[in-house]
Amino acid sequence: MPLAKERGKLLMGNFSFQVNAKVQHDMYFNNSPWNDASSWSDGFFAAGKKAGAKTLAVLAADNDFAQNLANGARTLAEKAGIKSVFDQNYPPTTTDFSSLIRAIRAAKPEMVFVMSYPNDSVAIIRAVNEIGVGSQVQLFGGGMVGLQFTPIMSTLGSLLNGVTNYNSYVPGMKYPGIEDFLKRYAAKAAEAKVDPLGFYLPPFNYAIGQILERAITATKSINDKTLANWLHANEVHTIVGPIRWGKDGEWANARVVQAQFRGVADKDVEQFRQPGKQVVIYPDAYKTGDVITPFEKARSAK
Amino acid sequence: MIFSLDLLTEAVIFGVLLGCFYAAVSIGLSVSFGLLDVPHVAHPAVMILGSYFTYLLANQGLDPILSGVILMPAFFVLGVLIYRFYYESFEKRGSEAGVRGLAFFFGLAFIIEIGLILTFGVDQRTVRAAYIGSSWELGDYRIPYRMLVAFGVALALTLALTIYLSKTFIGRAIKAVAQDQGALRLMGANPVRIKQWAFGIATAVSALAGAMVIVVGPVEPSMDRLYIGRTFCIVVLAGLGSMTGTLASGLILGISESIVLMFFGASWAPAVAFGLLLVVLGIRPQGLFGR
Repeated sequence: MPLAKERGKLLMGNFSFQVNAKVQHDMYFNNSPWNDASSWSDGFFAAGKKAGAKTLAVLAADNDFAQNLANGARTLAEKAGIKSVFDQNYPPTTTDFSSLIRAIRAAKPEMVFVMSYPNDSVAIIRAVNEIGVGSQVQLFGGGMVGLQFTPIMSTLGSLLNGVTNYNSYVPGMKYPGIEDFLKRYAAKAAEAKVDPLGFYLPPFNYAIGQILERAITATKSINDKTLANWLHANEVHTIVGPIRWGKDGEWANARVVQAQFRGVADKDVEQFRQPGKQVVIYPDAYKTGDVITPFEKARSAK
Repeated sequence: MIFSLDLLTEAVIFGVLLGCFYAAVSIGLSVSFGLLDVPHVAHPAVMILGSYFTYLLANQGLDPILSGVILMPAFFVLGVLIYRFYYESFEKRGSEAGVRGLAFFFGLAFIIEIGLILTFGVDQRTVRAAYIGSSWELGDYRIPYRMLVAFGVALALTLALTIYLSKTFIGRAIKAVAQDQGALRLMGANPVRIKQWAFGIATAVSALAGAMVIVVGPVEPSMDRLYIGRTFCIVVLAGLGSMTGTLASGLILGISESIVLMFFGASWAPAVAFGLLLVVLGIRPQGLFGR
């Protein structure tokens, strides 16, 4: 970032997180549905509050990124008057989560917010299915990285049911042009043997191209400053929805999706293309259904 | 902190299961490093290689643990070849070259890791089996079947290796090579061949340990780094070369880690493992079961 600022270059971010917070480069534009730390968990807490949850457990990986997001969740919980009954960070060397999940069950929380990395997410979901978190839990999930990735979704299969977790896009959301993009993507992905679904990152990568194309077409220029000025002044319509940026280069209005896994079967990648396997419960403008609570009930819901 | 006798009992049960798993992933190193004095820092990488081969076989419909057993002969041959190369290039040339052998094993670990990334990519790989994701309900307790499987396999492996090393001719020769190579040579046995055989066994055991790793959780190419400290810690804590000691120190580590995780916070768990090692080495430099 300092190099881009020093050279006066336009820089597009791709799913970065607050990388411009200190440098404040005015020609930086991040393309990710979140902006600040709280934006990751807004929807999760809104749903939890609606379900009447009054106590919270936080389990987060012990590193900067996860801690930032967990802090966002803690702030939201405090604002909403939700009492923390369990709050632990786990080191990246943790092999098995059975003891931690058992400790969460003993604390009897009504919401469990987890900020984990892919390997840990798989291990945590397995441990939750094996040990259980208690019938009082209304919502489980929130910030688990990895549950958006096709290999992990297809491996975990039905173990995912009931989990409410963040995402960037899931089928059923009405973004103009995204279905056509995903059709073209799927054909090429099969040839290239890459992620067959491509919901999480590819639409956002494509949207970066759209953003630049719109700016260049409108200004008829490839001058960095001209393009940056245009992007700051205009809303851009892409396959991941309309985007406007704030001064810091993050999306002015965060749109982190919270979706609940429902009726997922084992060993079937194709099922995830159907709307309804991940029901969007937040943001309201893109909702495809209401959250089912408590967590135990959601696990068996279709 | 919430404390109850039930929670403590559960922490101990989880700890025993976890400890047996730790022992199983360390037992190959106990042979190669503990008995043969080979600085085999690539042991966890070989084990993760075993996890990936297990993944391939499990995708063909085989049970993951059975896949690990099927892989053992191929890994035995791999181990023999690795040791032969190490012996001819480093060990034969004296102790200084032996230290350079450490760099060889680091290199081997990197080659395996990069090879896995190029072949499988950086995505996590997991397997499915009836015993993964479900648990045995015993009153209020729920015990994950995958950990019970790891527990059973670890016990069987330790028992088999203990019997093999104490009751068979080659097993005794392996123990002898660890004690006095010169004397073994005078008895008419070839220490290099014995060590080669033992290294093959250690590598074969790593294949089965790799199968257990992918049963317990997902794997990725760089995962060996997570196990390097823990496996060496268990082998040194046990006293180099003791199989039952490896099981016991795995249990000590597993139980203490589980109790710390449940009652004092997960962040303290690694500190407890290495703190224990420092305390034990301070009191008994030869390890808990070393002579």
